Amino acid sequence: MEIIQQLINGLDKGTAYALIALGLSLIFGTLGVVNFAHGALFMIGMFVAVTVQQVLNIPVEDPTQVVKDFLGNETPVVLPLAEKLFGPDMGASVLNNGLWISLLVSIPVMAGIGVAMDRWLIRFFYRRPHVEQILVTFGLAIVLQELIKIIFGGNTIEVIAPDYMKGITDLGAWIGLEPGALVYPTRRIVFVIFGMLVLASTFSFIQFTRFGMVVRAGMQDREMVDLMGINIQRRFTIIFALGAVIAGTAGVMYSTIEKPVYFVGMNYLVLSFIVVVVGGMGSLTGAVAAGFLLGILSSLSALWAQGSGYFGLGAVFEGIASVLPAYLVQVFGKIDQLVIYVVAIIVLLVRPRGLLGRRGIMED
Amino acid sequence: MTAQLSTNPAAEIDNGFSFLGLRMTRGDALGSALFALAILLLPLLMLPFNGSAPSTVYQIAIFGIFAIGFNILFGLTGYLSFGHAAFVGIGSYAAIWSLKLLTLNIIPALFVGPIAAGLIALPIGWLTLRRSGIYFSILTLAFSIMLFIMAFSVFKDITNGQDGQRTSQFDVRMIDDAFGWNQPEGKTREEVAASKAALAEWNRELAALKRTNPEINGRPVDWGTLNDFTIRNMQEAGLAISTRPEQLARPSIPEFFGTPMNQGYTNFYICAVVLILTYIFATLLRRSSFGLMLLAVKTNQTRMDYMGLKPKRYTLAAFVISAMFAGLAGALFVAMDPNAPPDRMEWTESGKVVIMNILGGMGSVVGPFIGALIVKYFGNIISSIDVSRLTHTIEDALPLPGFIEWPIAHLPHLFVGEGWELGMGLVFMLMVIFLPGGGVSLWQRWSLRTKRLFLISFGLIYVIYVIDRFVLDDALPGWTMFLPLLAFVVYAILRPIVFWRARQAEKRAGQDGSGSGSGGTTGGGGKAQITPAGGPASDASAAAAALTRKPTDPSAPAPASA
Repeated sequence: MEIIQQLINGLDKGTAYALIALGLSLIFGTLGVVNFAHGALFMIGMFVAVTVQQVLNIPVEDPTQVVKDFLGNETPVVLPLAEKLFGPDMGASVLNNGLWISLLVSIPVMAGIGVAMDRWLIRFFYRRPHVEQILVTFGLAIVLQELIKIIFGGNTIEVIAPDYMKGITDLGAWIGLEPGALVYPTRRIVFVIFGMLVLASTFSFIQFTRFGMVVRAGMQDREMVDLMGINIQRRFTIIFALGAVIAGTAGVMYSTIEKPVYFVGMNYLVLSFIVVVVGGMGSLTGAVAAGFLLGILSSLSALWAQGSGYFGLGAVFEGIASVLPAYLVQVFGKIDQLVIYVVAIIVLLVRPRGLLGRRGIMED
Repeated sequence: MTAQLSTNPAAEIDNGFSFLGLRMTRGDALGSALFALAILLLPLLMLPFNGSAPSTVYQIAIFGIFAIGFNILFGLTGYLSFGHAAFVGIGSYAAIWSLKLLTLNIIPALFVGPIAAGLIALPIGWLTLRRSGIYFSILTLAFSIMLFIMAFSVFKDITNGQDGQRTSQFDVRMIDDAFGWNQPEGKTREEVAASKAALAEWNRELAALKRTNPEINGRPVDWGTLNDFTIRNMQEAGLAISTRPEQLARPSIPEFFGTPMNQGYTNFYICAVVLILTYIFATLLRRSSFGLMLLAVKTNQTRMDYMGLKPKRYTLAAFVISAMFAGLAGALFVAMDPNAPPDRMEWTESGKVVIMNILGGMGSVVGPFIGALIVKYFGNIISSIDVSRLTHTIEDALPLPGFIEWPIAHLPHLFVGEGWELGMGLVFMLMVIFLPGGGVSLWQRWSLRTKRLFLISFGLIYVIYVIDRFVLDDALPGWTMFLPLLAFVVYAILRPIVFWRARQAEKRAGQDGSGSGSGGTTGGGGKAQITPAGGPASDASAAAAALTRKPTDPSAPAPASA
């Protein structure tokens, strides 16, 4: 049972990695730009959720309602903005569903940020060396992060999930296990489902629409598509905006799981970069597969590290552990934090184009 | 193209001197001497800028060492490592263990730190250098994050986790004890040993009591923080515990042959000497054939392969050398302040040294130091400016309506105080976009007159400062001394714009005429002298056209003619 629990855990982590990595890979595959500011886009998505929540909760005095305070003075009632605008019942439900409102708000916001980034910065770096792309987007990530820090401060801010997403769901009961055998926090399940939907729709968008076809053609040979009279530049801008929207909406949905703080983008950036590289630069399926693979791998190794389960091979592992020197046992005990990096290093050294990367793309 | 750049180091060999096979041109020697003088006078030079506190200047010096060392890898070979902060951490931990186990003298620590960093860098470099470009960056990033995580888990005994490792008076310090150094004042070694034995005996007694009496008078005792008061209470309660034997306090502050590191400018001058040696080493390395090989790695690796040279050997050596300088910086940090926290290993710190290199100018020797100076100065001084006071000052000074004044007065909020990193990030971005060669390439781009104007306006700061301080008794407001520099900045920004328009007009006139004169104006560089070497005229114009298409970057290495 614990293995299934950890598998779901890995699925949850993997969804976050895969969503950020998908955008990164999309941008690299089409524009050929290494975007170190992608983690910052994820972080901005989180703070869109924070902003929407704060705006809905702006305290407004309601002159029609008056209460007497403990001294007997009449003071107007202070209501959150949402209740002032929509009335008490409707307002409460709007407040409760703030997360979905932020999701809707984040789409145009992130698309705008993406278009602006591509227009005013990234476009000039299409043809410059990767090292300079890394440097300028790293600088942009710092700037965005510091702007958020100035606006929202340096502490974590909690985003309240809707009531029906709080608590846990009994997954075991669905598949006929005894109650309480397999439970999982509801908001994480919602996040995984949301991630799957986004992944599926992005893939079908790229795979089954005319727009996607042009973009795929542009990924293979940009010049040729240009020569055929198609404005590939505009499509690439849209693709950049799409990557930003995916990262931003993922950030909105993840804000109920991890409390937003300004430096969270950098943490996810490194991990999702490793995911992209392991999957193969520019390969969308590779990015998604590697995201889930690494997420599940780190969860399963956590299982081992906790010392429980050992996948039913407890005696074997303990036998090995008794032979190994003590410090190696210690290293293996902490492997859950390291496994992603170890896998990344091995993959990069052995198969530099990544697990599903195309032959000849960034293989040096 | 047979064009030979005049900045080719090999062309200047004959007017310099050599030592042990290392060449130094006369210009390099002059530069090193000037640098040494500037560093030794740094606390004085920083006076007008309010940044001459020992802690500020020694941090500038240490980060200068780190940045100059990093430049040996990044600036010369072009390999962008995002993991060098890990080597700073390794150097720190090695040095602190040298202080704890060997001696409080900082000299062994300054050797142990770089050696440890170099030893760990060797396998990491051997693995990571199998890839180049972005993969190399990601690999070094992955290794540094791994080491950072392991500092918290696997190596927690060595690193002491989040709290960091510190020196204490109870450390072993074998060399100190053997020679009687760094012992309590006026005490012999025997007395110290006796006091140590008595204390150990008392601790054993305490441990025995702890086992038998988990609590006294019904309350648990915090055995970790036994003070004399609780000991007396326990004696009154009938516990057989003797008074704590007098403890002969040994010093725990690193020292340099008797001078502790927390007094005056000693710490800065030790860092300064190391920094000057680093500078000279980097200058020699750049001129040596090894340095030329590194430049060749950046310029054309394939050609090196064809010539039978193995680029990886040179890059690996550069990687290890730069890691050793990072370790040296870490060891110096510990020598100045005996605390080794894991924060130094975080990958964003590696990003900072990259920023220093870009801001100052990679490829040159002095550039990284200037970058370190700017970043550390802004980090320490600008971030501690009281923003609200600044806002009030501006509001008082400007006679404007409120709605215009407010945004102007609050603009510094974004860039000063807490938000200094935003300003740094913006400057960094602008640098990468418009001036990939860094600050030094800006300097190289200026004409002689502009350079002279810059030096004059910069020197005027000191003149005004001295006059204000000693003649006028601080009568002038602080910002007046920056007026010449401000005037220069305005001039430097306006001049290229005016110049550009004039050049555009000239170009248009040229096109209206015969159209032959337009090929001669090369891009911003202007330093590259093209010698067509007897080729037909069409060759020369093609070379000029190639130069115009791709503006020459003065900091870019000259093609190595090994």
